[in-house]
Amino acid sequence: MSVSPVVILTVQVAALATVLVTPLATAVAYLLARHQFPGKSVVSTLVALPLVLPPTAVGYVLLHAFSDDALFGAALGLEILFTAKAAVLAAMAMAFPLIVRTARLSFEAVDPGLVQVAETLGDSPRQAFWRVTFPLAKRGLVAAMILGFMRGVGEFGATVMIAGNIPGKTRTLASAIYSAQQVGDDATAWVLLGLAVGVGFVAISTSEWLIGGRPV
Amino acid sequence: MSQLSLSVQREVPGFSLDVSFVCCASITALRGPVGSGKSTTLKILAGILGGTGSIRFGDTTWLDSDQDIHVPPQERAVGYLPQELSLFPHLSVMGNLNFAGVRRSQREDSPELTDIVQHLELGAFLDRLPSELSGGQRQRTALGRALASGPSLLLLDEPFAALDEALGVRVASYLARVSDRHRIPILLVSHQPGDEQNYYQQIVTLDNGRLMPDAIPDPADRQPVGDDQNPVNELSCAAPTEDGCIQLGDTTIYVTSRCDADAMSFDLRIAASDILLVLGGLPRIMAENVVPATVTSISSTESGAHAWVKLADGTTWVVTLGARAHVPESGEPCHLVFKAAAAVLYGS
Repeated sequence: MSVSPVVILTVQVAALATVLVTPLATAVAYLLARHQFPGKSVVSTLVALPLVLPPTAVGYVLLHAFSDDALFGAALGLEILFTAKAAVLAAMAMAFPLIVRTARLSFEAVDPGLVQVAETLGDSPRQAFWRVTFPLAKRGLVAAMILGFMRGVGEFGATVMIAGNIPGKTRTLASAIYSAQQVGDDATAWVLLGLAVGVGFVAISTSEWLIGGRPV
Repeated sequence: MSQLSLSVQREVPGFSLDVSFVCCASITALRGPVGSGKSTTLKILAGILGGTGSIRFGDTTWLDSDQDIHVPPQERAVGYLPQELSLFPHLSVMGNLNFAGVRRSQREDSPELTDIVQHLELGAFLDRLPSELSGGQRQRTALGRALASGPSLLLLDEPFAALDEALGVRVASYLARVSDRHRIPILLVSHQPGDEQNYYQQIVTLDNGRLMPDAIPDPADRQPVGDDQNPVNELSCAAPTEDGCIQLGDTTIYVTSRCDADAMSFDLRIAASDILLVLGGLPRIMAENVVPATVTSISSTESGAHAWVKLADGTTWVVTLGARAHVPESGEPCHLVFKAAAAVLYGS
């Protein structure tokens, strides 16, 4: 089994998923951190749910939502399932709650008193966000993106459900390790494992450094 | 100077605030024990805490819950110093001072940044981050940020708390000058008063969310302001005549005007120590103002005596007597003598 297409596809899928899901996840995180609204605890729980569900359960839901005759599949006409797009979708679904959680902590760590003072100094709420909240939460937001990216790199269950494990098409690092082990290709499995450990190590230590050692 | 008047209420479980007062002096101090509602009052005035009632500053309404008016904080142009300072941790001292640089440049006659840096003694650490400052440096930076924001009103929560006595007095004296020169009224919270309280001209005392009795000044019966040692006579008066005089009853007073062109209300201020009290016949005096009066009472303290005198128009003035001066009798007729330079007219 060739390792490099797997690594390239994995990084592409995880990076694209992170970029696509971060704006929404950050907005939801900000909403949960700074605003009170009816049903907030329900929203907060629903958003966190994919963290504790079996990834295959999430994949199963996505499978039914995005099949050609289902709600999203038909509406979007994207022909997503069992393509690399599905791998991106699965990575997005699994990274979303993690990014929301980390970003929310970053926003909550910004003293609301600072925003109030910025407003007394003439800033509109939007200006105060960009001049105070965002610069102070920035490191945490980058850390959230790194964690989301890593969740995408390691994603297996939901990906296999909706994207499959097609060599050269949807086979990512996680499914490649599984496949190598299945066919007894220990050498490849060890190489892939080494790569996964290396990327994970760098990502976790970077995000720990960015958020100043606070537990996420 | 624009006048601040408020009547605000706020209910939270376990505490209710209901205060009404008018700030008629240039520096008004809010006093009272911990938890009496001083900081809450300031926050409602700054617009960062909700409340009901009404707040008027000059001719603008900031809050009127009956008419559903709630001007957001960014449109009130207050310089607010919170008790917790809330310096922006990602900005240097200079970055904090310049946070409201745009608003400062839009307001004419704002305190100059260089002046603020010099008088608050910030020059040595302008490029440091708040986390690298001592408590006193942080406090002065936060105070400087409020002053440098082009404010029309300063709301200062414990501005001297982290300063030593001597520095506190220097800063208070600077604040008094800023308030006078730039026509910015100051409402400050002072929990443990020190010598800087000599600069307070009006004191409002709160207890458990209510105004303490006799803390409400009656604008119609304004007494000399200042403090025991250095009182200042402050009187509401009519607009000056064309030649720059004002009329107090039948008496014409020559003044130094520091009024806005479009001023609507006028205050005359004369420090008690700038007035000479003359008994008996008058020698030839080269001063613009010689005003007949009657001594009503004498008060003596360790630092000297003051005479309280009544003018023909019924207003009561206070005059500082020299430590070794002859002390007049109550009821004695006298003249008050002072230069026009000592009688400063403010208009807003």
